[in-house]
Amino acid sequence: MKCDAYRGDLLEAAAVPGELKEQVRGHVEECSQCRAILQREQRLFAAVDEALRARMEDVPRAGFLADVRARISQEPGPRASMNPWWALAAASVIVVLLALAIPRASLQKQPVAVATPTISTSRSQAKPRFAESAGAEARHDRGLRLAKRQVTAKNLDRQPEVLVPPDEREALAKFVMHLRQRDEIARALASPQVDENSEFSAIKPVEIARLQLKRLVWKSWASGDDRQGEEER
Amino acid sequence: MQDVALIRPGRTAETELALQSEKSALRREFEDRLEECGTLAFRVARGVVHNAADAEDVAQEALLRAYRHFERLRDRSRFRAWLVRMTFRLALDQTRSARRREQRETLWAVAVPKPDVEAMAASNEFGRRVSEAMESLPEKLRLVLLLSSIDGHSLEEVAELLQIPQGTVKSRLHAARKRLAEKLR
Repeated sequence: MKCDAYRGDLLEAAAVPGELKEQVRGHVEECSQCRAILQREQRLFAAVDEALRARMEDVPRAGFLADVRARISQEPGPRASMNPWWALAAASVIVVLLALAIPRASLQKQPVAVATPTISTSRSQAKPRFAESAGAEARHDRGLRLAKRQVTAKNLDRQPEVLVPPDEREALAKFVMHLRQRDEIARALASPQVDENSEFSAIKPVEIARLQLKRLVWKSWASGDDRQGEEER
Repeated sequence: MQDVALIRPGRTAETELALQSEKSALRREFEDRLEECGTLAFRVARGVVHNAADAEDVAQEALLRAYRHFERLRDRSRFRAWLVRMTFRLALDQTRSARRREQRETLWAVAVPKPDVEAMAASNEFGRRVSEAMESLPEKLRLVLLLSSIDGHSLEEVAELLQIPQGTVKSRLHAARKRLAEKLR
């Protein structure tokens, strides 16, 4: 009965190496059966630790890291992929913004349609005649700016895309850079800067406004023949 | 077949080159980490799967995945913890699928005589029993037990690797050893 009370403590003591509690130590010194149990448990835990250590001491073969490097070199590179949670958060923000923007856009549309029958394409043009307030004008300008930005973004997206293997991307980038340099040279040749010291700089460009252009007058074929006859005579 | 990617030639060449150099820098950084953590990944896998060849496959796959998503890892100091968890999970998946495959095959195969267990060395037999007992442990306890057995990691090191409090490591380790011993008694 007394031994049963210490059984749990004995197992605990074997699992955690360290000093035994005062009472347990006293009992173990007295009771040979409990001492044997403690020793058996301690041996068991030592064997478990040993087995785990032996298994964990395995090392990979010599070419392991080289193989990993070889496989990595075949990879296109670390991907800039978005964390799914971030993607979800971004999507929900977009949905909320859209939900807020759509009703506002429909509200803005009505006064502009009624008050400004013509749509000005630049800010320097006359202000909308029937604009009721400065707020309406500001909204109008903001709309134009947004439209311009969208057009620019669309143009950027429309740039052509090509399929390139990963090992040729750098070469293509250099090639594009080279083409750009050539493009700059061609542009410079096509529109050379005027040298003020050059003799050609004295020649003034033709002024179209000062040219006097006479209207063509019809002369009959007969008058031409008469002139020819006179010359023969 | 070679992988190809869509790029825009209209994009400035400087940007393209800058991207390339950034990727090269990332690759170099990863290769430094590979040198440091390659063996750790193998050992974590070895603690779960049954042989060294499978452990190598699992570790290789884990390292490859780590490389693919390396850019996503903002705090690079957590690389070891990240790699350990990924390897452990992959190793568990591999073991489960291997077990399922084995079960499917044994349904059709003629009973193969088992190797003479008596002839096995006692240590090998005990090692096998330890492996079986470990497989029955909950994942959290198992991972702590594995890591504390690798290179004699201290509680503090395991806590750092798993990014959990030291007290949690201590209690999990204690519970794991007790359960293991119960199964081996």
